[in-house]
Amino acid sequence: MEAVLRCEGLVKRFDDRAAVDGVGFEIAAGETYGLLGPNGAGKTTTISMVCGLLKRDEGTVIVAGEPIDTSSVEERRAIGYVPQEIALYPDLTARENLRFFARLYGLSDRMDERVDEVLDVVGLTDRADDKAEEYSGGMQRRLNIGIGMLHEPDLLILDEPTVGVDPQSRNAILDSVAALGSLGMAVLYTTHYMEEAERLCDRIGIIDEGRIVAEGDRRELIGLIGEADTVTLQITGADGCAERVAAIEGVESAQLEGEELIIIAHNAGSLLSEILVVVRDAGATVKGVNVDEPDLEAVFLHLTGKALRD
Amino acid sequence: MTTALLLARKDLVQRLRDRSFLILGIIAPFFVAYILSLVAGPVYDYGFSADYAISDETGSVGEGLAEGLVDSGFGAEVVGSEDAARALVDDGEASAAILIPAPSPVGDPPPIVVYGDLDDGTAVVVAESIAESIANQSDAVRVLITETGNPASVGAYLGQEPPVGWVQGDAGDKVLDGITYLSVGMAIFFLYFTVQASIINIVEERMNGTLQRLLMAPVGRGSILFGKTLSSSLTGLLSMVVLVVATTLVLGAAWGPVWGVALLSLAAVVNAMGLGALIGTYARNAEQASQFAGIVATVLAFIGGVFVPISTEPGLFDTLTRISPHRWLLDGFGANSGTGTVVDVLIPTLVVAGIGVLLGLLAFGRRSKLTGVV
Ligand SMILES: Nc1ncnc2c1ncn2[C@@H]1O[C@H](COP(=O)(O)OP(=O)(O)O)[C@@H](O)[C@H]1O
Ligand SMILES: [Mg+2]
Repeated sequence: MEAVLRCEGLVKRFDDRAAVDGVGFEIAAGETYGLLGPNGAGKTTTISMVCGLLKRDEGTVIVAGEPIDTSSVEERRAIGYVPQEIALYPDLTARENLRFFARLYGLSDRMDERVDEVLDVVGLTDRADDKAEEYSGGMQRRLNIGIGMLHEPDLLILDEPTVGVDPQSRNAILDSVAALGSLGMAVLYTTHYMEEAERLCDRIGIIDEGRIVAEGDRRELIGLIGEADTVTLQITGADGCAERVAAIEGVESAQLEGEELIIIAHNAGSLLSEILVVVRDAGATVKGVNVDEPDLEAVFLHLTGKALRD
Repeated sequence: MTTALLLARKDLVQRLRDRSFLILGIIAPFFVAYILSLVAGPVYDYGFSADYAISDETGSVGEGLAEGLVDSGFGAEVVGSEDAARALVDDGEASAAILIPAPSPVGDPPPIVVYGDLDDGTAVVVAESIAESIANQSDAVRVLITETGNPASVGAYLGQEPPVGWVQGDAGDKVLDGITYLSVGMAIFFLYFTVQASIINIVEERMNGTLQRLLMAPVGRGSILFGKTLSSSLTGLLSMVVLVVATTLVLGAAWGPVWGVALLSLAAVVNAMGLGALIGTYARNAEQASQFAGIVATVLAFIGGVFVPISTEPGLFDTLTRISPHRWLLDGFGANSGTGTVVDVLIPTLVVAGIGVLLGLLAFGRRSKLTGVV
């Protein structure tokens, strides 16, 4: 399938320090691609180069078959951009904001129709004629997204669109983003929340210190750390049982931290009964059990040696 | 072009919703001019208590002048000699003396001298206007104005070339009456604020991210720039039109021919825009830009003599005031309001607009600082 976005070897240096150091990926139509990485990883810098808002030092960007750089004009029509910071005219209403950008993109003939559609998608129809400055943070975020998707771009780029948003608005935002991919848009979504990447994205690039350290769908990424599960037992009187559990075949490690025994094991479900027997025999009392399948957090930790969120 | 218009329209809608623009651009200048006119105003209206001593060596002008003044509600008296007129001022019995010399048969016509106490500035300003209007009527007479309580310095002026000051010059040139002067001054002063605020709006758009959105749209950078320029000009001209009409109707300011007012206003807008844009490239954020702009506008207005007519003495100080576009504009509006020639209006227009274009070009060279696009 023809990629809507293809970028390769992107490099951006600020004062000789590379903020982005050889990033490249492709996104197909209808695909949602997540760029997952902690603050300062280089997500915004990458996106700015893809949009042609920032001059790159090296690399190429092709969107909908056309190369993009800072002097592109008409080619930008293929891109919808939702900046990380809320970018609205606070003294205009949501409808006025949308109409202004609709005109800017030359949507005049079906402007009203399209504005109504977008208001509906982002759930602001009821408050459409209130000034943006009167909105809650979550509503402003939603309008921020609405403006980006207004002209039905081939590629929609969202830069951490849920930062600082209440859980309810966050859900609404994630739902509307999920709907975009199914409309056939290619979506580039950056976040430092791994749940969002897991929930929304067909493919994920894990970015750290300006490089993509791993890429794939969720299963592939988790496969990188060998699909080990984490079993956490709340126990008392557990002296010496960690060693015994670690000796069970299939268990990779077992460590006692306070009253928690943390066990890393492949296919933990089938080992659970054996583990519980060993623990009881060691004279410990089990008060709770928790089995966690590995997540992207663990993948990130595995790949970079640090936590995704600090 | 449509993009520029679209942008300008959006900016104007925002401006008109912005209370600070309405206050700064329209209400404040009008209000300030009005307040000042209450101080200086009665002079021009009725019941002003200032008394004038007039000495007249021509034998023809003085009586008529006194009658006119009395008719207008002033106290006025023609006395026998210049010394007698000065003595009345020195004794505090007259606010100012208007000394009309005999016409000289050869050489330059001698100056009309206003002799007054600086402490009674309003009365002196009025006397100056009167002196100038006489000078205007008889083109042969030159005007010299001194505002001093020191007779020695008055004497020092006599027989010299008239200094080029803020209100005087050759007879028939550059005359602003007090009310008009205040109105023009305030209008220019606040015009700089509104236009600069409007151009600094680019910094604001950069800070709130909407500039990036504009840059992401499939429209040329040129039309974005043009749109911003357009809305700044329109904002400035809008406030100017309102002020000209209001001060004319309410305060009785005499702005002179419309074309002159339009040209000078445009020049002022161009200048303020170039200045505002340049200032914007040096500011880290919109607040800082407004602060810088406010300081610059106030200093220029002060140097240019908007608040206090500065220096009637020729020389370095007078030349210095010409750094300020406000000074040029006051001269230009003065010529337009009085009986100045077309050239007297055009020169300030060109100077002020030209400097504005120059500043604008400098700003354009530093545009990445304004837009944040690297
Ligand atoms: N304009 C800039 N000048 C200097 N350094 C910058 C600039 N923009 C970003 N950086 C640096 O580049 C790195 C990546 O930043 P960014 O792309 O914003 O990360 P992210 O969006 O993943 O949080 C950071 O270390 C940041 O400090
Ligand atoms: Mg970022």
